[in-house]
Amino acid sequence: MTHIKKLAYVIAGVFFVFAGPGITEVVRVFPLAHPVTNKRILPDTDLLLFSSSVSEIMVLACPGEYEPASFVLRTEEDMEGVTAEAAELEGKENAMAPGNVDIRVVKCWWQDKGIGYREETPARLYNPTSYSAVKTLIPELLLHDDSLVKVDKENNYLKLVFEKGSPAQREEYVLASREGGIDLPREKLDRYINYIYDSPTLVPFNLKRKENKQLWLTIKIPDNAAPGVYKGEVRIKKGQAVLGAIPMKVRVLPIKLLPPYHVSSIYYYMPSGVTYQERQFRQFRKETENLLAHGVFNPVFPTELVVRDPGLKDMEEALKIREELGIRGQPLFICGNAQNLGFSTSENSAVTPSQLEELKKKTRDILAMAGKFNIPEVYFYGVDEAKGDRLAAQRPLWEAIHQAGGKVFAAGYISEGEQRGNFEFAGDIQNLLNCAGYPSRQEAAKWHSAGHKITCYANPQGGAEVPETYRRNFGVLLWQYDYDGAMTWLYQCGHYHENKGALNTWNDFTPLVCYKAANMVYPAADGVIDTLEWEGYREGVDDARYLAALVAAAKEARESKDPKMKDAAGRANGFLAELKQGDINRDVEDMDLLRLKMIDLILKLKGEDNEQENN
Amino acid sequence: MNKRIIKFLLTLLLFPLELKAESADALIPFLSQQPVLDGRIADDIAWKDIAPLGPFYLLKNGEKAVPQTAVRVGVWGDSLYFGVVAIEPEVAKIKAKLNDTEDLWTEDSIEVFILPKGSKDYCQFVVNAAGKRFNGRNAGDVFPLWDWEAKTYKDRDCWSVEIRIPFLLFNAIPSGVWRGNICRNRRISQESYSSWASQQVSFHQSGKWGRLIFLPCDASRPVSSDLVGIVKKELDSLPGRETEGVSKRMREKGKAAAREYFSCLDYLTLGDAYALLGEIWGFRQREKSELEQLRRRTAEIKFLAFKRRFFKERWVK
Repeated sequence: MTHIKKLAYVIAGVFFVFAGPGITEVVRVFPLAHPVTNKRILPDTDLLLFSSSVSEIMVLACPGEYEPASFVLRTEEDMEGVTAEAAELEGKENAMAPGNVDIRVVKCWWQDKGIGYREETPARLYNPTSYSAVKTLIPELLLHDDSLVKVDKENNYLKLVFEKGSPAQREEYVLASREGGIDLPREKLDRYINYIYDSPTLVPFNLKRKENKQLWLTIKIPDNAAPGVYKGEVRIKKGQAVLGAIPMKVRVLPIKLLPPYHVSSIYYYMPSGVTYQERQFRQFRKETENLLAHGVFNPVFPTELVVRDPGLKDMEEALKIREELGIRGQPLFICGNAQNLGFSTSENSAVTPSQLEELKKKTRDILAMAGKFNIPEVYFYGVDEAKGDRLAAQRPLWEAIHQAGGKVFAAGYISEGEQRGNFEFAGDIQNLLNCAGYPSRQEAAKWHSAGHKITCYANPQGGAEVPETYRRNFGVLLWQYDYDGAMTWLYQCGHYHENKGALNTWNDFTPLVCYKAANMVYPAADGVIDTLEWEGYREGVDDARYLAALVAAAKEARESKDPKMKDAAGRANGFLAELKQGDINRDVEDMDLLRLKMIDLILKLKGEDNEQENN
Repeated sequence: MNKRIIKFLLTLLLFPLELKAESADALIPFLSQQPVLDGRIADDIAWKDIAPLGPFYLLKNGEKAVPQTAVRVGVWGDSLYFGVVAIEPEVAKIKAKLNDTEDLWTEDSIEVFILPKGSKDYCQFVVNAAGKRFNGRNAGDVFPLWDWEAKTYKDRDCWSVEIRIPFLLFNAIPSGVWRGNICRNRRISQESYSSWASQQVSFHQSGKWGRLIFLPCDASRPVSSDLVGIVKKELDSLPGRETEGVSKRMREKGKAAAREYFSCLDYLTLGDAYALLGEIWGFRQREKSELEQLRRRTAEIKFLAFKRRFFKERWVK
C-alpha cells in the first residue's frame, strides 16, 4: 500500500487506523458512544450512522457493577487471526487486572424478524416477539468463540463438540435455522445442548473485507475497587503483532448502588433434566449466577422443584445454591408449569375439601423448608393469564394457600374498557399481579390501595433483539409508574417445554405457539451464552439502581444542616419530581445521558467533585 | 557522449520533478498557535515549524519561476490560514492600486483557489500587495466580499500576505482531501504568472490543481473558545425539534434542558467541535428530512463532551 493510500485512510473522517510494523493491512476501529441500542450493526451497516468523535472508551461504574462498551472493526482486506485484549487498568494507587475486561464478538445470525420491530421504544405496549416466519440477519449472540455459529447467506450452523477434552474430540456443524427444528435425529436432539461450548476467553477471529465486526466489552468493577480513574487500553492484535490500541478510561465512582426495586425477577424454568441429567443443579447454579450478574436478584423458583419430590430435597438443594450465591432475605416466587402447585381448577369443576387440605399441607411444608433459609414470604403462582370466571374459580385455592400462610401471585391484566382485569376479580386476595403490557399508574394505585404489589411483564417478553427497549422498560420506567418490579417471560425457553422448546431453543424458526424463542440467553453445555438484549436488560436494572441511590442520597441530604447539601437535595428532588411524572419513552432520548445526570446529582449530594482528577 | 544520451539522462533527472509538479500534494497540519494576521510571516511563531510548499512553476511552460514564492498552510480554529512570501528583488516597483472586488489579478497579487471535498464549485480568493481583496466562485461568478481576511507586508526583498478563510465559507470542515492552488501574478518589468501546482493554460484549470490533504488533528486537543462560540451559534440556528403530541410545556422544558446542555460545550475537544460543525454544515447542503439524523449526531457529540466532565477534561482555553 502506498504512503498516500495509507494517509488517505488516516484522514478518512474521525476513524482510527492502525497499521502495525510489518503489517500491510489496516484495521479501522469505530468505538460506539452508546453500546446499548436498538440500532443493529450488521456486516454492511453504514458506520457513519454510528460514528462520532469517539476516540476512546470511557466508562463510569460503581464497585461491583458490570458496564458495557463496544467498538466495531473493519478492514479493506480479508484478515485472519485477529484478536483483542485489554491491558491492565492503572489507577493512582491501584490497578485493575485485565481479567476484569471481558471481550466478546457480537454474532450476527439468522433470526425470525418478529412482528413490529422498531428502533425506538414506543410509549405504549411493545412486544415484537410474535413469529413472523421471515428470516433476518440480526446481531444477538455474544461469543468468545466466533466459530461457535457459522452463518452463510441463508442459514446458521451450530458447532457441536463431542467428547470434549478427550483424544477422540471432534466437531460437527449442524443446520440450526431450518423451519421445523435443528437438523438432528430425535435421540441426539434430546442432548445436543450438552455439546455446545463457548470458550472462556476471546478466540482469534477473522475479518472479512469491507465487513463490520462488532466487539463487546464487559467491564466488571471489583467490589473493593477504590474510587478514581483507571487508565489502560484495548489492543487489537494479529498473532504477536499489535495493530493498534484504543485508550480506555474507567472511572470508579464513590457510589454504592442499591437494589433496583422490590421484586427483580424473571420467569425461569429448571434446566432440563433430559438434557443435563446429573448436571442439572450445576447448570442451575451457573444460570443463577448469570441471572444475578444481570440484575435479576430474585428469579422465579421453578415449581418443578417443589412438586416432583414430596421430601422437598430438590427444593432444599436449589435454595442452598441460591443462598450461597447471595439470594437471601427475599420472598420466594414459586412458579412453573404446575400452577397452584398442580391443583387444577376450572370454572366448571369445583375443588374438593380434601384437595384443599392437601394443598394447605403442601403449602405448609414448603413454607417450613423456606423458613430454614430465612425466606420471609413465599408466593405461589396461580393460573397463568386467567380471566373472568377462570380467574375467579381459583379463589378457594388461594384462600387455602393464605390460610396455610402463603401468598399468591399470577400474571394477568388491567381493566380496559368493558374488560375487567384481575383486580376486579381478585384484587382482595391476589397478593401480587404480574401485569401484562405497558405499565399503568392507575393500576398500580389500585393494587397498592389493597396493600398488594404489581410487577410488569410482556413489555416485551424475552427474546426480542431490542436491547435498549429492555433497558427502558425494565428500569426507570417501572419506577415512574410506581411498579414494584419486573418479572417478564422468559429467561430462556430451553427448559420451558422439554418436548419442543429444549429441542429447538437454538433455532428461532420453531415457534412456541406463535412466538419467537423467548431467549434472553442461550443454554450451553456448561452455563449460558449471553445476548445483546440481556446486556440491555442489565443496564435497565442498573439505571434503576442508580435511581435508588439518588433517591436515598437526596433523602439523606434533605435532612442535612449543611446549606450546600440542602441546596443539592433541592435540585435532586426537582429532577426526581420531574422524572417521576414523565415517561422515559416519551421524554428521554438518551438513556446514557440520563444515567450521567443521575451520577452527577449523586456526586453533588455526596459533596464529591464530579470532575475527577486525571492521574 | 552524444547529445541524445545526454538529453535522455536529463529527462530522467527531471522526470521526478515534473511528476511532482503534476501531482502536488500539500499536507495541511493543525497549527499549534493562531497566526497573528499582520502579513509578517518570518517572525510569526505560528508558522515557525510549518514547511513551505514550493517551488512555484511558471504558467504554460512549467519551468521553475524566478523569483520564487513560498506558501505555508495550516488550520487554526474555524479557519484555514495561508502565509505567502513572494520574493521580489524590485519591491519598489510593485503594482497594487486597485480596490476591493476589482480586477486584482491584473496587479501584483496572490490568488488562492479552493475546491472542497465533495463540492462542484470552487472559490477564488485574490489579494493584491496592498491587501485589497477579491473573491469569486468558479470562473466568472463575482460576489461582494465575503467574511475573510488578508493582511500584507512589504520587506526589502519580498512582500508577504497572510490570509484567513473561515471554513464556514465552504460549509465543510478540514478533513479528507480537497483540491486547490496558490498562484502569483507578477507585474513588475516582465509579467509572469506562477503557481504551486503547475498550470498550462490558466489558473482556473481545477483538474490540474494540487491536493490539499488535511492531516488528522489530535481530536483530543483543546479547542479555542472562539470555535466553541461558532459551534454554539450554529447549534442555535438549527430548526427546533417538532415532536407530534408534545405539549407546549414539554417543549419549553426541552428548551431549558438544551440551554443547560450547552454548558457541556465547554468540554468539547477539537475533534468534537469539527464533528459538530461538519454535521451542521453538511446538513445545510442536504435534505431537510435529515434533520433528525443531524440532531442525533449532534446530541451524541454533546453527550460525549458531558461524559468527559467526569474525567476532568475541560478543554476550552
